[in-house]
Amino acid sequence: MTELPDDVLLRLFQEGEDKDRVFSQIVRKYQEKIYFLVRRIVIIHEDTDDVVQNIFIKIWNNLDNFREDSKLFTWIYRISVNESLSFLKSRKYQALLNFQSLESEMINSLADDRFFSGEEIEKKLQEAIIRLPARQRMVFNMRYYDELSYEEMAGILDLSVGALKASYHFAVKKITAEITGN
Amino acid sequence: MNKKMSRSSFNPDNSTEDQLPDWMKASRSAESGFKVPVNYFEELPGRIEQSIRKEETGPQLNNAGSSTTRRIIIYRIAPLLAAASVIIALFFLFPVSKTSNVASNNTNDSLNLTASYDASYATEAIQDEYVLMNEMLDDPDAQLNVETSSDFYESNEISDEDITDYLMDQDIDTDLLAEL
Repeated sequence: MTELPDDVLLRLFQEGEDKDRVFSQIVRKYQEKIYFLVRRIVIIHEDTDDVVQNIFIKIWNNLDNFREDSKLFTWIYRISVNESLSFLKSRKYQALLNFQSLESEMINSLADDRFFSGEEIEKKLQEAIIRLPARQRMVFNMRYYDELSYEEMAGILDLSVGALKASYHFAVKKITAEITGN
Repeated sequence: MNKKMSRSSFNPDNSTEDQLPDWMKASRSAESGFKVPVNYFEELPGRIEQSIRKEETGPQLNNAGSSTTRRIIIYRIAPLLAAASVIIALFFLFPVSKTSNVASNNTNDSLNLTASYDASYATEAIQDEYVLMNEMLDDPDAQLNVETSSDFYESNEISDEDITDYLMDQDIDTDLLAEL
């Protein structure tokens, strides 16, 4: 099936002709990108699955009102980032109840995760990323894994390009120091 | 990791792909070591569609909503339940503790009585009785005294005359007196 451009998908959806089929195309187009964006933030597959479903339900509920102030892709990413951060916030309280930091809980989950089969270096990299502050983590993931431009990231995270570059720079330095011990 | 990075060394324009260490460039992949269950992405659109249908047909039955409502109910009711439990506990515990105090006091008393009991008193009493019996056997007057005592009771029996006098004093029916 040929992948339709975002503006065509959006127009078809908002015109209301076979919404289900059009939405299914949007899901298929973005599901992997969104899944891995969320997964790198919340780490556990089952949690990621819940968050991804909530993201697409939100997209379905609000797509009729989307007025193209930004690109569809930027809008979807923004919803995904917000949902992931909300989830992390709730997990933070749960971790507090278990007298653990969320970071250590996530690192433990990573060690036990049957759906994580990265090499040792990938595991160390993920652990170092988990230890980053939330914003730096988000910026690093978007830039390093999703290869988004700073301008695209600025649209998603509502941050200036300068601030994003600084966040990414410090994130790379911290991760390098953590892994190489320098 | 905890080494402070000097701000003077920071140049945002240098933070491009070329600035990444080689090992970091090499280990980059979209999945980054994360895996998904078999056929996950084939099944996900269908599951999302189901979730949307569920949400549309019964938003009030949505899990998150019901769990939030449940949580609110628990938080609001929990203090009331706790207070009620304390009151019930006090209601049941206090009488029990009172009774048990009384019981324990009685037990204590009996324990005290037992503790204060002196077996020598019994021995003395038995000895006194033994001496008295011997005296009575040896002394005929003592026997007499006992008989006298019996005569005293016999002499104090109420006679018919005493009854008649009493009834007359009390103006009792004369027919009854005649019967007597």
